[in-house]
Amino acid sequence: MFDAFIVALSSVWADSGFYDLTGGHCVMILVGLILLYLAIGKGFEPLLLSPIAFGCILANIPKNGFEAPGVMSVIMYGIHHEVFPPLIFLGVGAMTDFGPLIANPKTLLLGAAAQAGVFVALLGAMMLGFSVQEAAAIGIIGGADGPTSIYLAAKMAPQLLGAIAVAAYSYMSLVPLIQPPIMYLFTSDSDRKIVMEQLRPVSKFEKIVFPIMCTIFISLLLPSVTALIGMLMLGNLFKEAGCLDRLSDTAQNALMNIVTIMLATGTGLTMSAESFLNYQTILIIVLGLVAFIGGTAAGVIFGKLMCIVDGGQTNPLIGSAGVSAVPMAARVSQVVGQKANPGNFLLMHAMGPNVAGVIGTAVAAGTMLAMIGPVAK
Amino acid sequence: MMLSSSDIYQKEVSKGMGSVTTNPWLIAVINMTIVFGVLIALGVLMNLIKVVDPTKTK
Repeated sequence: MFDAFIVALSSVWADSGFYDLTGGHCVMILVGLILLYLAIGKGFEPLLLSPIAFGCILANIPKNGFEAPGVMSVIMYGIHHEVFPPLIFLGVGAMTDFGPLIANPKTLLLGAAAQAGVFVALLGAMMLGFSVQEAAAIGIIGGADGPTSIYLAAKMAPQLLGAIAVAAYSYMSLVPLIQPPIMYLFTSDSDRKIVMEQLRPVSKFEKIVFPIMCTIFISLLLPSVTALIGMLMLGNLFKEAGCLDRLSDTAQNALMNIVTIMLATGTGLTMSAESFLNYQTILIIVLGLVAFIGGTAAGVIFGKLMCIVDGGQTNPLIGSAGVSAVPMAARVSQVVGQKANPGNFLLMHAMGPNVAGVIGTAVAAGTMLAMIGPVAK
Repeated sequence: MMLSSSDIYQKEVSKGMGSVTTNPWLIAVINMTIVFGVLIALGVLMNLIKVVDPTKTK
């Protein structure tokens, strides 16, 4: 009787997660707990960081059976087969106003210039020994666009997806800390005080036709990012059409929240000790920061050039918003501009390069897919 | 250890990957040209939409 009890108990122990728990699992569970503290206790991007952190804890429970068909395998399917990033873009599109960009199209150039950070990181990654596909996926962190980073990583470097996603979302939440010192470094006090003239009103016709024409043009040029650009512009069409308010509301709220839960939890699930605890992860985190700094600097420097060319009409601070991270990067331009001149309102002007950055990052991702090609799955 | 461009090229060739180029400088230059080109074209498109806008006030 006692022997049978001991055998049963040993069997339960051998089947438990504790039996296979390694030091790596413990470290990653600790990482998950720290991220949860930062999200809930400190308020760092809690909507994203909480599910990422919880997914990280779940991924490091030994024998969790997530490979078997079930909700977790569906979430992982959505991550690895690029289902969630385009759905997130649908919600982003429904929340985006392209009006400031349409009113001042030259700010498109700032969104393009800020993509330079992507290639600074790509260069660095290749010099550090990453393959060209891995380097491209790491570089796109500089676009400060989480969904595009995950989209490209899933296609070009699925083995690095966890580290890339965590780096991309971490730096996006740290925009208010990372960008201001770079903005101060490349602008003078008089630059920061420049007041930009009010934007012209944009007609409903322009706002409806732009997403349609933009989708057709970019998708024909770079078919590999049709899903991203198409969903971004479809969401925007929902918003601007005027007769699709129910769809716009769903895309902005219910769908966006559901997909955020799936995407963020799935990102956390990629953070298993086996794939995350290595030297490459540290390099990716550092390269991501380099990409982010490079993109911000390039945007501000280009803004300064634009200011010189147009005779001081452009405040160079709006250039930093070209790194996407909608709308946080635009808010940073507003805050830094208002510190220099309390009567300065740069938010709407910075939204132009900000949304141009989203399109620019998707174009950069599509060009890299076209030039380098995805890895075979 | 830092790798030179030729080392990177040899590494990629040995992997048999089918990319157009593995020169990071070339990738950066071509990509930035395309990003600028596409966004400039979008700017032209925006101006075109403004010109043909039938609802604009004279």
